[in-house]
Amino acid sequence: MAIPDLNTSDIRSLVPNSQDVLELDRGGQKIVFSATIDGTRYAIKALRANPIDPAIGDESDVLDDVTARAQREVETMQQCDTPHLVKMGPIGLTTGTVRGQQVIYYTEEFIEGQNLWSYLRSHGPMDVQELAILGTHIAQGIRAIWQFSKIHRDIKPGNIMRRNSGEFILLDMGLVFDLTDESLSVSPVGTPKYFSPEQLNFVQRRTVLDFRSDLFSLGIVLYEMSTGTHPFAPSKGLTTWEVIGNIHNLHPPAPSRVVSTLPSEFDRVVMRMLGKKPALRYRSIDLFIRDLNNLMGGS
Amino acid sequence: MSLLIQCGYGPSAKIENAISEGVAKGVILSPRHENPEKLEKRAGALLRDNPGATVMMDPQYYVATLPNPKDGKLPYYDYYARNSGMTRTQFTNRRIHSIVKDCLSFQANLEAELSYHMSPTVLCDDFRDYWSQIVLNMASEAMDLQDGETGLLVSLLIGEGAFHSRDAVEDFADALTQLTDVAGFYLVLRRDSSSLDHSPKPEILTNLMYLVYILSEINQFEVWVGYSDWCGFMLEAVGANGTAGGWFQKERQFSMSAFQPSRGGRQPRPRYSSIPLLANPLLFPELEDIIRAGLLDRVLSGSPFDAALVGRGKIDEGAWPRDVEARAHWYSLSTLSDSIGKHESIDDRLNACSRLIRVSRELHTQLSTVVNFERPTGPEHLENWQSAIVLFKSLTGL
Ligand SMILES: Nc1ncnc2c1ncn2[C@@H]1O[C@H](COP(=O)(O)OP(=O)(O)O)[C@@H](O)[C@H]1O
Ligand SMILES: [Mg+2]
Repeated sequence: MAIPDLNTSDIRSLVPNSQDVLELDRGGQKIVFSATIDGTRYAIKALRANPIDPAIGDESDVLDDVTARAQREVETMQQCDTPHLVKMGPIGLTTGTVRGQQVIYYTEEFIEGQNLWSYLRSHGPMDVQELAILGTHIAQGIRAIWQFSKIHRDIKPGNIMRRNSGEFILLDMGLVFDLTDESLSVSPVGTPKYFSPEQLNFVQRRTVLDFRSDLFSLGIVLYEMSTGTHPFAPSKGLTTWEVIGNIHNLHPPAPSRVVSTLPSEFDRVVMRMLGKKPALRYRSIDLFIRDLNNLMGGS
Repeated sequence: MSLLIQCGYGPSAKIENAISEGVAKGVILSPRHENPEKLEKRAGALLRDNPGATVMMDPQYYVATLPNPKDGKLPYYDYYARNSGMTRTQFTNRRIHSIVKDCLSFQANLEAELSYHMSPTVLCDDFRDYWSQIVLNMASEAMDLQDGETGLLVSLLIGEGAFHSRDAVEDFADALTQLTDVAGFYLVLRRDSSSLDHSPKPEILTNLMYLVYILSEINQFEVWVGYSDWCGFMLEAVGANGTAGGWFQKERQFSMSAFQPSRGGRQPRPRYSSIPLLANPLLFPELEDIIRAGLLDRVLSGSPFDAALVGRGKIDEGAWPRDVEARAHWYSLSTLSDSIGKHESIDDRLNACSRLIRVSRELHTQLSTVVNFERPTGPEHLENWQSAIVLFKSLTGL
């Protein structure tokens, strides 16, 4: 689905008390702005609402219902106390119409920093200390979501921000899942390069995915941030199906085979996260965090 | 690493002896062979006399789905009596709830404080069939109903056939590892009754080792393997906390035929338990032939019981009573388990296993000129074990 076609003045008309609106980024499905509201800087995000099945009846009613439900989910998750999930801003999920486009928009705390995708491009691969911090922070985010028996489902470099202060924050929490479940069909786009094998198992649909699926995706992120190479898309130009095949079958070389300064303990953690089956990864997020702590202490 | 005694028919002072001698670290009690009062008394006495011993009971609920089982004293246990003769469709969620509740409260209400409580289970012959779903439902019900004070072991009785598919093993492990709030698992391999030698086929043993490894090493659950007998040392090598062996053949390896009306078999012939051979040669004629060839010291295990056999021209039958045979066997199993347990890493432990097996195979070959071993004595099982270790290593990249 296409991201909505909005400019800064559209945002000012949707959010009348916004000032100094700047376009920040375009993700897979959202257009992201930053703006000052009541003296504080926030991110404003907008996505295009897909037309709802006309058979259901009045479109905007259904849309409002779905949005309200998603809003409640988001609010619940906001209550968990971790600094590693992005916080909502003053405007929760809201539907609106601009220049004939129906959009959903909301605000978030503005994070001063870079997403991991651009961080990797500007700074190159991370060292073990930083990788361990990255892993720990995002694991805390995953743990917070899992407390509500939910999983993130879309952990990838573009959805992780590195604050300039060095903290890591997970974006897009819960949203993808809760919305895709509904007729809104805000489906994940692009290649499922960061999906776990069980997420990609189209034949034998597992009834329940658990946090271990998110751990796999985080494993790919750690691999990529440590080596600069995606473990299942080592060369450019692979088709989506080739990448999916690799996620299912390829056993990539340990990170230290790519970057020889990486310690073997790091190899062990990452290779374990990339286990093809959930049971081969970590039974609990705490065990994973413990291994990362050892990594920090050890080097 | 601990060797536990797998209780069976006719428990006697041998259990207490083996524990007080430090050979065995505890017992797995068998309700089928003792009524509740006796079982409670035994548990209490063992715990009183051996603080620190591991004492638990296998509820043996799996008998409840057999037609006309030889279930011994099990009908004296409420959780069994109320829920026996069960067919597949009777296992509704409600029924599972009450079976699990009855079974766990029986254990919790015992005067003796068992080291673990064990959940009831049914036989799982295929990791993907309807029964396996019942098994998982019982396990998660037990997790919800546990009292929170005593560690819960989820018991599993798995048929050899289930281990044919590695993929199915992994999927089952995925489900088991979702049981985050349990202490661990009590795992039993149901042997196909036709093949009661020491060793399942290599691929089956490999996958069993793999399951133990996933649960213990990767996911940090405790894993206790019942009826493991000689295979125990390899399972401990890949992470099992403890293994178990019984006294008669029936308690050494698990077969459903034990619960079917017997055809009045004769007494099993006496056997010696030889660590160097990793097998139990028959006293007559196998061990006798070895003695005649002057090679007895090559097969001795080094237990105090050996004195009855050493330095005599021929074996005096009375010198090797049943209880001694059982205790000498536990001595072998626990000595093996200790020798593996010394090593820190799985890799080192597996290498130690391989060395033992290799040396043992050579010994079998050397002895083949003086003695004709019957098939159960070997050395076929050693080849199976060796291949299982090789397969396991390549599977896990160790
Ligand atoms: N709260 C925020 N603060 C600063 N930048 C953000 C914020 N949220 C998103 N961004 C930027 O916008 C990009 C896309 O945001 P995201 O919410 O992931 O949209 P999409 O769902 O389309 O991927 C991010 O990769 C990041 O660069
Ligand atoms: Mg995103």
